[in-house]
Amino acid sequence: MSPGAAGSATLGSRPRRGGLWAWLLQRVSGLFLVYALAVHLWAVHVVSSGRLSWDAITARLQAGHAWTIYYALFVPAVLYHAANGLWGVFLDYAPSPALRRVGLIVLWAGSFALLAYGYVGLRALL
Amino acid sequence: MTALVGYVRRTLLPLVNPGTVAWLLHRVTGVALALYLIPHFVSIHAASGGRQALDAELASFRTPLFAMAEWLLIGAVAFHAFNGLRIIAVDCFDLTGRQRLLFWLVLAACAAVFVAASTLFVPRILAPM
Repeated sequence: MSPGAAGSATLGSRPRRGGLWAWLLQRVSGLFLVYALAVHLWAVHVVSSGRLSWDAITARLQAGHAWTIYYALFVPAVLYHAANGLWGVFLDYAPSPALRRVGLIVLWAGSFALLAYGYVGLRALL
Repeated sequence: MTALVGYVRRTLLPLVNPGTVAWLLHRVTGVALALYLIPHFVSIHAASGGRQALDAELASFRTPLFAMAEWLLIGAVAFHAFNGLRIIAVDCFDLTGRQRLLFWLVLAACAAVFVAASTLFVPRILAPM
C-alpha cells in the first residue's frame, strides 16, 4: 500500500503498478474525509464552540464505540490522503529515482512520526 | 501601457479558465492543509503534559488572529472538499462537458460554507473571549 502516482504519471515515467490503487484510495479516503471533517469541524467549532477543553475532548473520546471507530478511520485516512496528495504534487516535478526514494521515505516516516506523536499526547485522554 | 494591456489580454487572461483556477486552488489548499497537520498534531501532543497543559494550549488559541486563521482554514477545507467531489464526479460520471458549471457550483457551495462559518468566527475576531 505504498503511495503511488495519484493520477499524475509524469511523461516518460514507467507506469507504476500501485498507481491505480493509489488513485482509487485517494478518492475513497477523500469521500470519507468530506464526511469525517464535517463531523470533526462541527464537534470542535459548533458543539464545543469557544470551550474546547480536556473535559470536552475526553467526553467525546470516551463516548463509545462509534467515536472510537470514527477516529480509528479518520486519523489514518487524513494522513494517507495528505501524504499521497503531497506525493502526487512531488511526482509532477519529475524527480529522479533517487529523489523519489527520499520523498517516499520522508512522507512515510513523517506520517508515522505525526501519528505516534499525536497518539502519545492523546493516550492520557482515552 | 498598451503593451501591458496587450500582455494581460493575450497572455494572462487566457490562462484564467475555471479548470486551471480549480487545479491551482486544489493544489494550494491541499498542500496548505497537509502542512497544517504538522502544527495540529504537535498541539494535540500538549495533552501529554496533563489537563492544565492542554487547557492552557487550547486557551491560547482563543485569540482574534487564531479565529481568523480558523475561518480561512474552514474555507480551504470547504473548497478542497467540494472541488474534490467535483473531480470524483467528473471522473465517474463523464461530466467533462459540464466542468465549468460544476466549478461555479463548487465556488457557490464554498461561499455558502464560508458565510455560514462567519456567524461563528466574526464575533470571535471582533471580540476575543
